[in-house]
Amino acid sequence: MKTHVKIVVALLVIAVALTAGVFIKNYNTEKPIVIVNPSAKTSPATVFGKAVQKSLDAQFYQAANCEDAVAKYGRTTNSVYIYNSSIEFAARNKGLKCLLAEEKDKTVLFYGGTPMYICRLPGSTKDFGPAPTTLGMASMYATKSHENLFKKGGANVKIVPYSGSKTVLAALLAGDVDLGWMGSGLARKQKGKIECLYSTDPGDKNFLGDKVNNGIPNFTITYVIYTNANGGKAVEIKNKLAGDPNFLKFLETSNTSGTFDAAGKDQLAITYVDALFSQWADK
Amino acid sequence: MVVELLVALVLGIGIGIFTGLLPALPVYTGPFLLYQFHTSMGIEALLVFWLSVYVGSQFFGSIACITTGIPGEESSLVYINDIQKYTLSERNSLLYTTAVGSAVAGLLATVLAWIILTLGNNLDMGWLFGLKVQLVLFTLILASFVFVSERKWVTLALIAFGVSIAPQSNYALPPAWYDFQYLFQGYTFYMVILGTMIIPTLFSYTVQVTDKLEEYTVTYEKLNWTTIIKSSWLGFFAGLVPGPSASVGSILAYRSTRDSEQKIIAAETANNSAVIASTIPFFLLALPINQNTIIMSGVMDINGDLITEVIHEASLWGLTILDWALSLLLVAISIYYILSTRLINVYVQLIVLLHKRIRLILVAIILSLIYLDMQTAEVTVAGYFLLLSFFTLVGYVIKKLRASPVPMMFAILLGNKLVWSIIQVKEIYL
Repeated sequence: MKTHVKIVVALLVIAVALTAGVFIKNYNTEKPIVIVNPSAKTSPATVFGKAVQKSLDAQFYQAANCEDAVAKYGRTTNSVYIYNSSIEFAARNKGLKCLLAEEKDKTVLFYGGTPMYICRLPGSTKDFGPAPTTLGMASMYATKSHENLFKKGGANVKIVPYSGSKTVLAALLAGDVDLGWMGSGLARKQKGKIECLYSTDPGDKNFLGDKVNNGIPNFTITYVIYTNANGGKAVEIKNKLAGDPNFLKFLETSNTSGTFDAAGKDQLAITYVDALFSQWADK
Repeated sequence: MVVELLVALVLGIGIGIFTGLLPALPVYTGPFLLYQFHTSMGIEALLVFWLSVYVGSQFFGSIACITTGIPGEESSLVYINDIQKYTLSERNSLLYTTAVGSAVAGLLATVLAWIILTLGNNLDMGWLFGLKVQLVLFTLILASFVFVSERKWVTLALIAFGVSIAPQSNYALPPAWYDFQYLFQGYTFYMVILGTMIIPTLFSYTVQVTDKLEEYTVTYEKLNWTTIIKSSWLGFFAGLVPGPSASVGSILAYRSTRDSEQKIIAAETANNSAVIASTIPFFLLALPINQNTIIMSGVMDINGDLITEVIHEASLWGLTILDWALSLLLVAISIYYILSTRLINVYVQLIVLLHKRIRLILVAIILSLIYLDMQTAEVTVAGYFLLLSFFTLVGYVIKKLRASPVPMMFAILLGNKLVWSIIQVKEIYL
């Protein structure tokens, strides 16, 4: 065999050996946990995802949209998906393929939610009733169907769409709207600057459903955290999350309640979004 | 704790300079980094780091724009066309005057913010968040681009296109409009700059340079204090209005004067007071009003801290947390001033070096920008290059029409807020 052929063969053998070595190393090394976030970078759901990431000391994947998130989840071992009901509601409205019911490879780690508060400025007398009132709300829920349900329930409201709770709060403080529908975590921070009349939590004494039925008076932003990790690894992830005092503190301050004993609870989220969609979506 | 604060200050200054000098690193780089490290930092250090990076990225964004013609941050974009007509020597003098303006605006805004936050609840700022203020302000800004343009119809069309793709996650849009803007989902500000401004001019970029560095020596010009003080106030006001605060401040100040050089100084002064003012609603009402404060608000949420209360808690040496954060911000601004004015000769050499190998360096910069931009873009790799190709095509068309892409970029920046305002006015008043 000529010298240069020997050199080429030797190089090939080395290359194959190196590739095999890298493959074996990676095969035997445990894959890192990857948090897959379908929500926008500045949304409260991303804050929730970041809290999970911190708790699990995981990598973070910011998806372009929920379809991209589902694709990433499907191709990444040990990924943890941060689902929330608002993303699914929007996805259903826009015909995107990222529905919770279609995801078969999952172990549910956490199921929970955070209610909304309906607030006004201190000293204001505005309330749900026959007098015309404006209600600021995140645009995906600011539908005509929703407005009509309020009217049917006796509240003469005009729903004004906003990008989210923070802009609703700004509009309320500016006096642009009479009432603001906002995340309870954000509303609680205001302490004295706004007055919250109603809560969508049926456990609260000022439950919205006792005043007016808007179709879904017990509305929550519902979170489902699920993973495609195998049985043992999934249990390990769940225990780490449930045992992290920082994550538990985050749940408390963001007024998110839920359970880590969540097997099968994803079905509740699906049923809940079904109800949301049938009541509030403009079809 | 003192050591921790000093480390946070030094790191904040370093990353602030880096973020400002490097286009494509977004101004929210600071709070984004804090997502990774915040649990190991005290609240004082967290705020010192954040404020230093935020202010530093604005301070040094002007240096990138004036020296290379590529804006280090969005608010420098307003004067990018003016830069082309200055010699390299004149650009170096501008570095000095804009640094003075930035320092004065930063110091003034910090002191004002300190007073406002200390007075706290006695101030009614709600009207600044109002629909009418935003609608009038953003409409006037976009209209001003049409008024001053020599090609009014092209400018109008570019603004219309910018506004049409600007809305994000706006489910109140008519379905056809929603579907149209969804096609552009995931574009970034730097992708638009790269496509419409930098790539189309890559092969026609020429600046004559000689080897004699003394020809570029800075001549320190007399400062126009009226421009600096007026712009500081304008920027401060703009900073309190929800939206892209620094850019709004820059445009208002830029339009407030006629002289070309003063316009640049005014814009660079205003954006510095605007970024500091934009933190006031966050500190006072826990209300974030721009991307930077929204992400910082997320960091506070994960920490479980209520910002409106925590800043008034007692800290070291009898000072409150707010006192520590703002006093160290004053130190950071002073250091930025010293670094930006005393090292102008370094920038001079950098400019000469850049221009000698300009095409090669521009290609390297473009590739680096694309790489960096893709790290924070909410889009797939294929989607990124598809959108970049589209914006490059738009850039070539704009170049052929001898128009400026700047109004379109501001339409993209302000359009999201503007469209929301129009929809809300329709619902509330019509």
